[in-house]
Amino acid sequence: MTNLDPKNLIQLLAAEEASDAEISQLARLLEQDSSLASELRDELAFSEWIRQALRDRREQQSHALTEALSAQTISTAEWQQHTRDGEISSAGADSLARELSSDPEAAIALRRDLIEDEWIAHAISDAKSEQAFVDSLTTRMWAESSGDTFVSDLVTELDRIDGVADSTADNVIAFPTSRVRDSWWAKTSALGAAAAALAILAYVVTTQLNPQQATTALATLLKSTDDATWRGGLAPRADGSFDSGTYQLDSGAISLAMADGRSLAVEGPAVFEVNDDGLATLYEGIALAKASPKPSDDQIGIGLTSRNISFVDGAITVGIDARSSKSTGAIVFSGETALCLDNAGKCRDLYQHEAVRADHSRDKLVDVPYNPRPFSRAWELVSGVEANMGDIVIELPGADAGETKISNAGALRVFVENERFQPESPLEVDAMQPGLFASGSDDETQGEALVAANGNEMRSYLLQLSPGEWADSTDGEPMEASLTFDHPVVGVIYSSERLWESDDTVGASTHHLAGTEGRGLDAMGDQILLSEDRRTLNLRLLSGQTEIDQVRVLVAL
Amino acid sequence: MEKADRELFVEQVREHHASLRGFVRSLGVNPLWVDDVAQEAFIVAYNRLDEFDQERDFGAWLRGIARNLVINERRKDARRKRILSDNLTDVLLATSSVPEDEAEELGDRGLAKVNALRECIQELPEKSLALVQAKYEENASAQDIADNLGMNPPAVRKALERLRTSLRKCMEKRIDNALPTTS
Repeated sequence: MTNLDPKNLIQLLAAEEASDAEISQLARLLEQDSSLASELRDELAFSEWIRQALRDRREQQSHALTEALSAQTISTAEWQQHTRDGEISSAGADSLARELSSDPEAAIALRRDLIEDEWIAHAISDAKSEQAFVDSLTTRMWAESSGDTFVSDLVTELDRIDGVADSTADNVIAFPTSRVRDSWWAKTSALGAAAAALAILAYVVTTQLNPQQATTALATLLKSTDDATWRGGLAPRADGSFDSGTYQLDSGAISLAMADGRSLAVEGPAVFEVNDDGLATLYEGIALAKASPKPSDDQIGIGLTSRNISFVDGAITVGIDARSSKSTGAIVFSGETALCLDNAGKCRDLYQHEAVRADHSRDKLVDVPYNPRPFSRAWELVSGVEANMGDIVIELPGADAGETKISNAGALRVFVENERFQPESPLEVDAMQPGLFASGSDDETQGEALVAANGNEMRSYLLQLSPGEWADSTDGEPMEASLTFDHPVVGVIYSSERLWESDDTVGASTHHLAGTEGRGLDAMGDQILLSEDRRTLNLRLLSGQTEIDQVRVLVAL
Repeated sequence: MEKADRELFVEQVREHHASLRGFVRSLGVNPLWVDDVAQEAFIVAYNRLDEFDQERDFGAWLRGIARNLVINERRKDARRKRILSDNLTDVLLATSSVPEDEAEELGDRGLAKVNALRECIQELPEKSLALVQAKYEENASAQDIADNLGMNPPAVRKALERLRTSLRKCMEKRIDNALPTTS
């Protein structure tokens, strides 16, 4: 042993690494120097404090976890998610085990989820492919049972299988036995890898390298109400394009077309940001977002986020109400999605005509009644229909066609019945030639089959006039209206019979029509005209009839 | 061991590996060790092939071996364990069938289902595919995926959950369509 100086000996002792000889040496030194003894006492005490502090911290963490568990801030579903990720803590696993032990069905559901996760990994990952598994297995077999012929048997067998399956496979791989062989799985995995590489490449190209993206506007102004005014430095360019940045809409309402096909409507006063990636964030005010009409578009989420909340995907039209600083409202007009509370890491499913409020003080999502009224101006801008002439009310999603408000009496009400659908079989519509008037003729109109070509989707609108109210308010004058649609009209249904027949296809609610027979246009005098460009529908409806008048309009998305 | 036995075994590896790996995972085995445990089950089966009664269901026999391997994991010290948690595995084991008694188990027909899934995955839109790849191929965390795709972690988890749901539906539809109809 070499003689160490006193300080080094003290450090060794404090670190509990001193040998017996070193401890003896230190003891001799302490006898000679009392200040050294004091220094050692301080050092040992400090070491103990450090240990104590670490212990306290661990206990604190453990206590916090226990508290979180008892307060159920970590839900069973989240622990299950961590299990699926393979990242569950010991305490989390114990908590989950407790929950599952009293709920065998949940345990089975978790097992099913785990199996599916495993299969998805098989299906997508080369590392989990059958080839990788068998390669690894044969290597282990060879290592553990050398002298046996398992490996060569396996190769022979697979060759035999391949020979049957595909004798023209191009790809060759080296097998652990140094044989070179054709392999159906090599082909499959090579194709899979190629597809994956192409997908990744395409994703990179479209999201990062696409030169068009640099020249295409992130968003373009579609519509703007007369009272729309901008505040602050940023406003749309003269050509209507938006640069990335934060915009303050002082008043009025506007709609934008985002570069990826989504549309957005904002009602002032509002503060919103158009992000570099073509998404929008609402900080104040009201906004309504609509998914691209082409669902195959490469999109996740609806493209609109707000303070601490974001939609996942699946929704067709959603709204965010960020007028209050304490909470943010979220509403689903059509489709279904999930809403996430970003800070809290919580998400919940949200279905059509459901609404929640994100309470910022408690990081909590609270169910609230579905109330689309605050979005009425924004909705008008993205409903896809524009009123040109006449007393027309664009109804909010979810509005009940059976109820007529006094303020709407006598108006032609326009309902967006189904924002996006694809008829599985041809839909019978009333024959109609653009540019020529058609009249209602009590179901004697000629029909034609409307087929959605190439899997294209449609949107359906229902136009409704309650003639009694109209007659009361207009002394029997004809009602004239003109509507322009943002997509071409491909079919119009105005005969009662075809209206009834098409209800199920478009998913129309008909509870208010119980006892009604004739709901289409009347033979005597009701007229309808579709413009040559198939965008504008003009109606002239005679009043004084006793039954409701309805017209279903189908546009191609 | 007879050559015929080995050939049988090779066929069974192909037929059962997907189901077995799913079964192993469903007992709470750490995803990183699933293949290892499944391979070990095959090796044990291979070495005991003489004991296998060909009248019995080979998949059930394999599951029994894998089940015992997982039970044995509980006796190992923490560093060598291939399961996520003893308690969790206990609960999951309790819901799994005892192989000798029951031929049907969760995850049966695994190979057909994986093939169906592969087709479903090929039909995913690009960004959804990127999400699934990041999770299941690159084993990226929700945070990393969120950073790369401009999302937030809970939204990533929710998006993956919805993707899994749609993949499950697609897989089941393909399997149902592939089943021979009975008259």
